[in-house]
Amino acid sequence: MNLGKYIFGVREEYFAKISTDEKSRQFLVYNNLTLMFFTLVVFSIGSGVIFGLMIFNHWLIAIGIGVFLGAISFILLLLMFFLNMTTNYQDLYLTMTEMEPTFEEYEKLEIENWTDEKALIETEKRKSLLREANQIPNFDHFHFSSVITSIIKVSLILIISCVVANAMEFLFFYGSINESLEKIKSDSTINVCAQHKLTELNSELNEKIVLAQWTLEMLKEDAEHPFIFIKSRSVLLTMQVLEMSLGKWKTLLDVLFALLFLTPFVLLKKSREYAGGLFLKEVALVDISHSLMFYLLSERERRKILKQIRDHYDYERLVIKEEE
Amino acid sequence: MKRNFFDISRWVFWILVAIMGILILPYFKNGLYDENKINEWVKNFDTIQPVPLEDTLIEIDTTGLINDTLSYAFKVWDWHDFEGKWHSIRFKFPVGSLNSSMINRIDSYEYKPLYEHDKLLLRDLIRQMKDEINEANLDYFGALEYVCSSIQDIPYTLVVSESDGCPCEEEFGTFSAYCRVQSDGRGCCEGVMPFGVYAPFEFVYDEHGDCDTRALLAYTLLKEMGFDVAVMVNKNHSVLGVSKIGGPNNAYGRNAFGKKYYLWELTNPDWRFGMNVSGNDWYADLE
Repeated sequence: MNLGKYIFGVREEYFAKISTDEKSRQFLVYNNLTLMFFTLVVFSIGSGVIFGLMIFNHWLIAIGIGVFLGAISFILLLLMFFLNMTTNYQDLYLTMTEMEPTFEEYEKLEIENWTDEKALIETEKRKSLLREANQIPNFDHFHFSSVITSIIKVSLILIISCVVANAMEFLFFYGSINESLEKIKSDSTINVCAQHKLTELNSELNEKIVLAQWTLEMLKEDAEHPFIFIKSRSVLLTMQVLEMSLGKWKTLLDVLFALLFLTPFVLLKKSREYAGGLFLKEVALVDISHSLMFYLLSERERRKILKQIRDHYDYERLVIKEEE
Repeated sequence: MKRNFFDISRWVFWILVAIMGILILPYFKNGLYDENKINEWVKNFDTIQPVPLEDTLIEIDTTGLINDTLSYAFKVWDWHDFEGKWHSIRFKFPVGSLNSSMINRIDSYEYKPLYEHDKLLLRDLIRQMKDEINEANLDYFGALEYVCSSIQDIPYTLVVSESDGCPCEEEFGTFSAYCRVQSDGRGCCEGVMPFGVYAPFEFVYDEHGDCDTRALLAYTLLKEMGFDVAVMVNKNHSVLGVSKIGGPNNAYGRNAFGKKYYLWELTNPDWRFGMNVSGNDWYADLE
């Protein structure tokens, strides 16, 4: 199965000249990346549904928010992946060849009589030579702009991971959170505090009274819109309950989600399977051979036209401007 | 080597996904979610501060060292002294002492019966404080500072006898509506009958105390250790009176026979012996 072709365009014809082992390895690598990508998007859709349910208590709206958040994640993650792959591809392209010296070689040859087939054979020959050279790209180049772009990319990924992590934690612990919220709602201390009258002298007590009243208000169920998922109308209150109850475990779960989202990103940036992988190499070779092929064809036509002009016109007179 | 990075990362990713999948199941996350944290949070809404649980550990003495038939409870009395050194004493007291102390206080209309009753309840605390003083080889004044610092380290709480006395505004500050130890010293306890003073044991137990409650506890501890001290009062304040120390520049009061007691303000952790205490109408109410 080749899942990579749906997202990254990993088509079988790129691997025509590659051994079966290497080919299946590249399929494995890109299948994995595609599955990772889809997993993260599914997590994002789930998060959108969870937040939608918490805020609106309505399934259709929640699904709509899920699709919306999933689409945003899809585009953003795709952008990150492709930005990394494009950088890798360009590095590879530039490392494998420099076209100017290659073109110069053909200036000495009489290519004006070449047929299309001859040009294609020449291009394929060059492509094979380049493939055999088996060049490995060098990624040591450093530029300040790459630091900034990396920070922006990582920040965007962390924002998505933070949103997803919180939503998933709500999902993991929603039963316990609901029990805690019920407990808060029926707790005599908080109810007594909420019934207190505000005092003139004690601002600390007033703060408690207002907070207690607000907390109970957020836990009151609206008869027209009953709670579907979390029994609270406030995401912040639910978040606070979750934070208090999980303590350091919440931080650990947040870190695990960040790791989950960053893994494909780091993989694309650092793994030679992607950066120097055969798929990107073959894509670069195809592009290089296309450049060469079209150079040969256009150069051949140029020379033909030049020859025609030279044969039928006074070429020197055409190009030298007469003095008045 | 180049394949290792991909393989490791791949496994990391899918193991993380598996962990997340497992966490959706109801069985594997009970240890992560601590409901007790919510109970602690809800306590913040209490308008009356409960006795701090971490300070008072009720348990039965099973050491067998005590020959009488009483059951004992324990309390930790800890403080920073004037040099910033930390002290902590875990002392025992008979179960039911708080109730006994309160009943005795309600029936008492002067300081003496409070002292006489509660000095027995605080026997173990006094003995351990004496032991520490001896171990540290403190002199007369050092021992006084040791005891007084343990009282001054506790934030001030106003204690009034009126049933609707809190919150209130006094000439020395504004006080809140609730009876608890507040770090800003603005706690207020109302309805403390009959004359707005807690008995020494009650103060040690709950740590709510204003000027006369503090002076009475200091008197109880120091008197039982053998110091020549008194509870000094004037028309609206109480301090500790100490004999045998002090010089011509120190504030003092006298007893009915003219004996001098130098004044020691106990309501603030920064107040040291020798700092001026205003007023010239001080007299010894208990010595």
